Amino acid sequence: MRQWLLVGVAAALLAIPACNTSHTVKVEPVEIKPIYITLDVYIKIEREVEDFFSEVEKRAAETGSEGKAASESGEQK
Amino acid sequence: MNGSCSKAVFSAVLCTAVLGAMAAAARADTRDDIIDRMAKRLPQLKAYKAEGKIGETFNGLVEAVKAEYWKDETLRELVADENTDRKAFYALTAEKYETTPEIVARSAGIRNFKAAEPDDWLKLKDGTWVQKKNLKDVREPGQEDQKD
Repeated sequence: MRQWLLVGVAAALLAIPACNTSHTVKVEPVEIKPIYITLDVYIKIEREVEDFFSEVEKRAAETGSEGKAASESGEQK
Repeated sequence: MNGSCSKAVFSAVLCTAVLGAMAAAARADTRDDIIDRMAKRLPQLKAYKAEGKIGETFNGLVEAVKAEYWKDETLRELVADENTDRKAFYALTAEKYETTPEIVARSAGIRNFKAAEPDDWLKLKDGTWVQKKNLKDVREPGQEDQKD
């Protein structure tokens, strides 16, 4: 009986290291920065495009009004 | 012999100088130059748009709405010149923001769809022409692109 008890204790002692397992999980760093940069670029492009076409319309209106003013002044003469 | 040789050298130098000057002029095409040319062209472009002959495309260019309208030489030249300038601007902007001209062109397409008049014709990504007043969502072409 005593022998069996010793065998049991020995087996339990041998099993202890098996319980002590360690796992290393490597977590890749989450890159959020490029998403913000991409969005930022899209917003900047949107603004650039808006400014460009607005400028075209503005300049066309100025040229048109100048031309109109010139023709009106020509008619008055 | 010596005279003809020096004439040939002079011609070659002259040609190089002319080509160099032309290349420099092409390089010096700034945003401001493009705006200037497009502003001068805008009244004529608007007139054609009002007639329903020219429309905006999803990729920021202009096109004849129907194939038969291409017969009009003035329209052809107008569309070609306008698209050349627009492409030059898209390339300039793409270079500035380190992206592709296609991305800038799509952004311009969305902008021009939004800015279009209700009767203006718009060409969608699938190639169909729709009048702005019949288009459900003006952001449609951009959203489709983002999903791709």
